Amino acid sequence: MATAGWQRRMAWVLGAVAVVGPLAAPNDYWIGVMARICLYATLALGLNIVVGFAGLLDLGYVAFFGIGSYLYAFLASTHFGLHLPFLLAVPIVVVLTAFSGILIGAPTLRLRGDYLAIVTLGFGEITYLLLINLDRPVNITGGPSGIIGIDPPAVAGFALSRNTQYYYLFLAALALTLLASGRLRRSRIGWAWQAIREDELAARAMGINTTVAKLQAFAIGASFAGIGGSFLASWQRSVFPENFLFTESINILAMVILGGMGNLLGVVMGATLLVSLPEVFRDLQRYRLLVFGLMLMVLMVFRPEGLLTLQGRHDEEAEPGA
Amino acid sequence: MALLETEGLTKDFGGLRAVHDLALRVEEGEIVGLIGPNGSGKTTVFNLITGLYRATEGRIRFDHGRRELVGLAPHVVTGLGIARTFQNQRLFSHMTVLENVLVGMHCRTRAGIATILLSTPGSRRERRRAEARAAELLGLFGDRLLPRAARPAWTLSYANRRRLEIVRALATEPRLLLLDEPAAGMNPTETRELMRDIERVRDRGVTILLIEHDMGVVRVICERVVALDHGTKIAEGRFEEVRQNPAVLEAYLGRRAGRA
Repeated sequence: MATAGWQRRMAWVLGAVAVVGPLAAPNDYWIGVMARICLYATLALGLNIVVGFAGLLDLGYVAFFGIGSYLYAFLASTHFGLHLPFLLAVPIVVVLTAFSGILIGAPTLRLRGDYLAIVTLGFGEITYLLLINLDRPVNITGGPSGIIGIDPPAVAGFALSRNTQYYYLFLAALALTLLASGRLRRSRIGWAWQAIREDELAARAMGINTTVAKLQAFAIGASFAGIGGSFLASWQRSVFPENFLFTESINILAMVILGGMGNLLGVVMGATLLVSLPEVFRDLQRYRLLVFGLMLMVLMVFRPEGLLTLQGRHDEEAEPGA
Repeated sequence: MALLETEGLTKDFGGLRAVHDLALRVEEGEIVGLIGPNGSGKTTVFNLITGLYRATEGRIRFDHGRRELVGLAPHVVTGLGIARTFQNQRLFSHMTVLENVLVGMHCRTRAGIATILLSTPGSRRERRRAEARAAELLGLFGDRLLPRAARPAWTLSYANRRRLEIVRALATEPRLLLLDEPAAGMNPTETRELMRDIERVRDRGVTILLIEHDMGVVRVICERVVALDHGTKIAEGRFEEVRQNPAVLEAYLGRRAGRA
């Protein structure tokens, strides 16, 4: 399809821009913004698996981001005195976060649409409350003051310190999750997810074990948040419950919807816009969120399917009766 | 025993008895028609066989008595070799025509998350084979579907959507295919084409049980007809016999039955 062709070309151009981007950045602050774009794009791609591919409206996705961040903090900081090397800690975090996706996903399997949204919202809030309260009787999460003294990523004795280095690390993670998303989408599992999104009953009748397929979606989606969480923790060198508020879930969901649910390039563009626009409008001071909100509304009114749509959602006319 | 055989099959919805003590038998290689007025329980029978509903009482035996279907999940039933279409089309609208068929192949392919993420040669081979087979199945309807393989399913015409439902069901490699009003909404030309296609599917070794209101279709392609009324079997046999049956006439036309 023609649309897929130009989207692929555009992806290559954007990839090239991303690689040389730091050279053009006016200052270190903007390189930090670019790193955040990559981080959030990774998270949005994870949520896209659950919401965009499988059609499961998850309003508590930030829980997995939080679980990933805190798990990394447990494994590589002065908090418990564990200092696992970065390349060992991240895979462990990813696997455990994927497992948490299965645990949280399992009770929601029979729920759909708005009911699923409300239950996942609850899970997100519970996770936040656990993070903020699990400092007593035994100090696990550090409570409201979080965990500090987290190890930076270090490979073979070389520790990352500058934003540019983090940027390339996050960009690599984004490339990897993009590749994974693309491969999954064009696979029997990806097709099963999309079938569930389109018509769950028909999907079951076509031989899809929807229990397994949904849990796979929750696990993969959560594992991306595990990557993002580890990276946030190691970049900030600290984690706080406030990093994982409900508004973050909505923010990430907005990236997915804004970009065009299910469309990988669109989701990355959604993340780019939602992270960078508030920075662009920084000069407007307290009006910036207002302007930002207005822009979102305008976009959703004029392009309700998102910036980039699912394959051919609106570019084909019904054939004249065959 | 027959390929499919139900015994005392009963389904209650609260106080409503939708299917009552039904004995249904479908032999390997047959095309059997299930007829009856609206609300007589035909689609409920399909939902019971495919595991979407659980029978209140009775047995459903498949594969010459070897498998009991009551209590099995729908995807397990499909895996055993029973596929269906829906009366009110349930295609995956925003997936392409080809992808709709590929979904049907899910239960006949094996690649797991790890092999897909690593894009192993084995998983790539399996996907290429599935895509080739899906295209081959789309070719079953000549140039109706194949040239539109890359389009979203919702862009298809009504008749083509019905055809795609059949292809998608065939992709699960069924031994028994349940068609729920395949000719509904089709014009006479399309209906004639459909009848030929259904017979071709049967000639590929797929047994067919179909619900149909178009008696022209039933008369031509069904070797045997089972008539339901209020969830109960009221007649069974060759179409001409069933058509003459007083109980059938009464069910369709009311008590003061006029001409047949």
